[in-house]
Amino acid sequence: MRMTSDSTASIYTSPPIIEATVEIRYPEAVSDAKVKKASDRLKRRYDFTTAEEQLEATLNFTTRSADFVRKGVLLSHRSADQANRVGMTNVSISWTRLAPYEGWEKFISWVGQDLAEVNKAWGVREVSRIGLRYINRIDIPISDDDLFHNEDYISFKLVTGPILDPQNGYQWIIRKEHRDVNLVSVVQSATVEPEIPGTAAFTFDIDVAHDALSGVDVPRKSDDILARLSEIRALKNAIFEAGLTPLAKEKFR
Amino acid sequence: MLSTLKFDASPSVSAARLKPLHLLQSTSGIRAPARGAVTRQDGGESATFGAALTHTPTLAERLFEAIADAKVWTSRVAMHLSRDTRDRLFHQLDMLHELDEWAEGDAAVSLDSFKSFVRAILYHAVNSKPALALMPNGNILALWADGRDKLTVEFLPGNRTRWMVQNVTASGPERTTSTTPLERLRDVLQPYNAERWFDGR
Repeated sequence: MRMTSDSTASIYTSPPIIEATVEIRYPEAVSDAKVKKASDRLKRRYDFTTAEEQLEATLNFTTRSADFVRKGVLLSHRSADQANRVGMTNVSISWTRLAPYEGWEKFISWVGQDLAEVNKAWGVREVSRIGLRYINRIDIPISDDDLFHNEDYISFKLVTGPILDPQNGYQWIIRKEHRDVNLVSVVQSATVEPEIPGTAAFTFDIDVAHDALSGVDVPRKSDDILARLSEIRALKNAIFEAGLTPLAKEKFR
Repeated sequence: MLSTLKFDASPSVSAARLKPLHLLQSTSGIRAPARGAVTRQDGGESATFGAALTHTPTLAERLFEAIADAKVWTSRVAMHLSRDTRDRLFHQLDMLHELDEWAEGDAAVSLDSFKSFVRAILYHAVNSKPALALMPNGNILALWADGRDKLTVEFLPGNRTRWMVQNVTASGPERTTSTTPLERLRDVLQPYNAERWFDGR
């Protein structure tokens, strides 16, 4: 498999990334107090903090009764412009950057700084999954024939033949194990509501992860996690480059 | 066998407000919506739901959430906006929702109105810097001035606009008002030289 290395990744001045997320999942839950302790260490870096208690209710219609189970806390921090957000629960932590995306170096540096703080509160924990998800949104003009020619922009597509062409909309999802690099990708695409008059839009959503279920240990230390994220990113980039046409990419340059 | 997947391939969390595909639900970590599924168990039927416990929001929280919703929505089109334009819009939104100056009974910004406003900026390539105001119902009002001539546009939900031009002539001021889809805005304002307001002259 060819993968785009960090150093040769294409540079786009106007990338279509509307959301980039790093998520780390842990097999063992930490206490609410430890979640709060980690959250407190991050609080000064953000403008807003919210706390939610998660509850799960099971309604039994036969006995007309309900059982409630507490599912822990969700602590979230957000920047004033809402573009940077981190959320932590008893079993996971995630960082999300909304558009405008400011590049990998800035993104991973932010994650690394926060992760160092979190590890001071949590210590080095066993990790069950490291995931990297990029959601791209591609806006394209509606052509003179009033059709949305998504095939001009996305290389991965459903081939249906004339009975379903031209399509008014689509969605698909692909899962693949990349055993040579011990990663799994979940790639999906769908037409979405246009936001700009005279255009149509589709998403191209790439999620790549190292999961403990692969049988290969997931890194635990911060530096190892960041190094693994760079490898995950390389596969994510390779899928992005393969999935979009030159015409699409021309829009981002 | 490659055809046998043993991974739990549930995706990383997402804060996007996109409509997710059926197979993979978006799991926003910020305001978790109630979610549930009905299953049959031991001859009976039960339903399991998860939800975030929240309290009745304060005024400050309601204003914050309205602004946050507008800023998060903007991220869907941020790649088409210059950084300066985005930052200016966000600053104006913050200023319009100053808690100290908030009138009781006023509505926070209407997300649908804000969408119409931003869409107009993108569709008509507006590069001027209108002043903004908030109507009591939460609609965005944009104001442009060229000497004593003025253009006021209220951005209505559903990509519609209500506009008023005040044109000072030798015979005195004239006012014209109408309602139009935002795509037609530049066309209907052409007799009043729309470019002097929209094109930053």
